[in-house]
Amino acid sequence: MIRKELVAASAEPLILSLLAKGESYGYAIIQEVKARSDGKLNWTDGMLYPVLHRMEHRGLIKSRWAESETGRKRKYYSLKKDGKTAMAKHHEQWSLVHSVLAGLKKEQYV
Amino acid sequence: MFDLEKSIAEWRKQMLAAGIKTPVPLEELEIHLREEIERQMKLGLNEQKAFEISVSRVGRPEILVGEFKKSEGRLIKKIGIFAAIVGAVIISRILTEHPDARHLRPKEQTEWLIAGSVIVFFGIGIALLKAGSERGVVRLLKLVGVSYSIFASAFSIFLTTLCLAEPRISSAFTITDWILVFAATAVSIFSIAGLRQVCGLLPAIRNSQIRTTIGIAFPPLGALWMLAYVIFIIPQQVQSRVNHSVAMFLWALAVMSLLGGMGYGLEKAARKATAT
Repeated sequence: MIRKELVAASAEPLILSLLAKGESYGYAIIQEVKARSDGKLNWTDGMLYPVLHRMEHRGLIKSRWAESETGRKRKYYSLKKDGKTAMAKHHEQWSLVHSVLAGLKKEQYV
Repeated sequence: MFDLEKSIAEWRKQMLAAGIKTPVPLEELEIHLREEIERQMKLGLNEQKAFEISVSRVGRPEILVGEFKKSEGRLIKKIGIFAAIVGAVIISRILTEHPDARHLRPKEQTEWLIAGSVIVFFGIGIALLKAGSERGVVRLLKLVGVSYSIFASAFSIFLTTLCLAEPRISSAFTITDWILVFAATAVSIFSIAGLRQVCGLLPAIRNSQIRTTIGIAFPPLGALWMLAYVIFIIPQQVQSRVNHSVAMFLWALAVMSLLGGMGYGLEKAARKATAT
């Protein structure tokens, strides 16, 4: 299981990157993150919504209510321009952390 | 016998009691809960078990409430309070200083003051609601700022042209007056077009919270300045000559225009600094 600090820190970049593929709603976002991490990135489901609302307040994403094929009401979220910029920044920073970590790990075996 | 709908209704009650707001986010959470229950049942659990697991997945209401509170824009609240105070100050000044208002009794003044503040407060509130998000509010207020500059420029050009065209007025102007008049008009125009260029010279405030707070404060300051000018300075100018009045008025507009454009300039400066 991944530590909760890391789960919290990775929520925003993950949501942004997921929404970059197209609009989605809360439940689907959680399911996809779980599936992609083999269930290791496990959010308390309800915690996703405050994060989404915060991101909407900050103008990173926008939302709309719509009905699904099965007639169920859903709130769909999609990326805004500022969200794309924020995502690029996240990717840059996470890559940097990753490359430093990978570099150090490599040196241990030399 | 377990009743799913009853249990969900009970869960809703608990959420409401804890302070989760309806329709959003409670509606959204309920939709989530139902989808999760459905999935659990497809995996083979019975209704009751599926409900229990799904409820625990969604999380405890008191923890969720804390998280949702964080997402309710604190900045928006600050702007609202700021606007209300500004409104109250403006109205109290009008009531106590304006010649027409002197005949009002103190009680009436207080009533007017309260009524005025409420109006200002609701006006801003509606504007904020329309804007939707914090970023939207910032954009809206910046638009207001830029429209000051455009208004000031247009009015300055109009007034200057009027003075030039009317021989009786233009004859009263000395060379110095004309320089003052044109300089003021130029400053107003410059604050729309020119701030883009000088934004590199403005300080790049990297903390976006501080930057937007300052940026947001500028347009109301501009309005306050103009209001103060119209209420306090113009009545004292009745005796003074037309050339002085015109030059002073244009400079007052120029100051408003600069204040209006400042929020935009600060934002650009920060963008420029982070881009390089």
